[in-house]
Amino acid sequence: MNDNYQLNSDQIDRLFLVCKEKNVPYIDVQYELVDHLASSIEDAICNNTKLTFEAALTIELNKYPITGFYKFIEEKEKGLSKYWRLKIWNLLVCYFKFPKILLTIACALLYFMLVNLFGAVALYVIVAGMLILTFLSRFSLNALVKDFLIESQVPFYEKLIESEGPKFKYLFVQTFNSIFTFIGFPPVIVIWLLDVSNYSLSSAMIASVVVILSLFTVWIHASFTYLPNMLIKEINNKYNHFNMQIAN
Amino acid sequence: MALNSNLLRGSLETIIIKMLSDHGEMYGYEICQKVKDQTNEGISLTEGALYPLLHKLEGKGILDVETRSIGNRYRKYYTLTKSGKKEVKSVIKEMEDYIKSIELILNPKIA
Repeated sequence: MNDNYQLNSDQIDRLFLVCKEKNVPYIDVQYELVDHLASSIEDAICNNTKLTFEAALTIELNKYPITGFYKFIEEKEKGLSKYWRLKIWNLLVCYFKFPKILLTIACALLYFMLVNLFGAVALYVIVAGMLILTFLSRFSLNALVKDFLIESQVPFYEKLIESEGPKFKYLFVQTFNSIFTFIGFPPVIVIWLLDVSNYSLSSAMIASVVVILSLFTVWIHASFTYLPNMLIKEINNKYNHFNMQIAN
Repeated sequence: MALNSNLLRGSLETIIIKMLSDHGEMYGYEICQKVKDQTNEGISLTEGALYPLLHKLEGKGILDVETRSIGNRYRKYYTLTKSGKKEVKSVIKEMEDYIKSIELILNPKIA
């Protein structure tokens, strides 16, 4: 590892172009690949001053398999999915403590009373309300991610911004988004249960549906408050040069 | 002599954890070079093997990552998380025990 010789900005731009040509659409994956390629090329040129940048780049690219960077992205995607699932799970475990447990039980009792008073119609109304809130939380997260992409100034790569605008894709954010996509799943199960029951609901079925809906209420609350804040905190930790503001 | 890649695959996690435990924060290329230097080029990590494992360890919560700018580009630095630091001793002990067992097979006279 040399500390004396560093590739210039045009050469770094060339490495970004190589990543894009090799189907690496995510800027955070590109950062890592570009730094690795650049470090290796710098070392090679330092050891053999007659070596040109393009020749060193060709040697370096030949070290990768014929599939290029595909495996690299695939493994990173898997790693990030695990990372987010663990983070979200830990967050929900921390979130679900004393006062919130009581509120969840109160919520379950309220749903149970409503269903007993108004029957399956009450459940349909609750589920419809939840689906609306789910879509709203999805939109608010999308807006947050969009803001992040616009706010994220990438000062070194002005040429990339000029050619594409601030539309960089981040695998880190995209993976979080993919997990968030399944947020509407529990109410769909409830609708399925209601269809199966054909409006004649047994007490056991009402109880199980009410438990699912109460837990989902907790998830909806977290998806409006804790989850977006966690996403921003994580982005700030990992990409601290973006310096996003955390909403209260 | 470079190590067979099948042999390396099973010990790569231990190598990365030990490297980060000894050197604190490191970036991908630095890990490759340090391993190469420390083993007199006996072990040469490829990018295809190193980065997927770094990402896997990050996913498991063993490594933490921070991106910083260095000159005209960004660099990702890897460090051990609290749970990663807790694993260092057990991972190294496990590998030492394994090496001792292999030694007994390769040199039965020692036993």
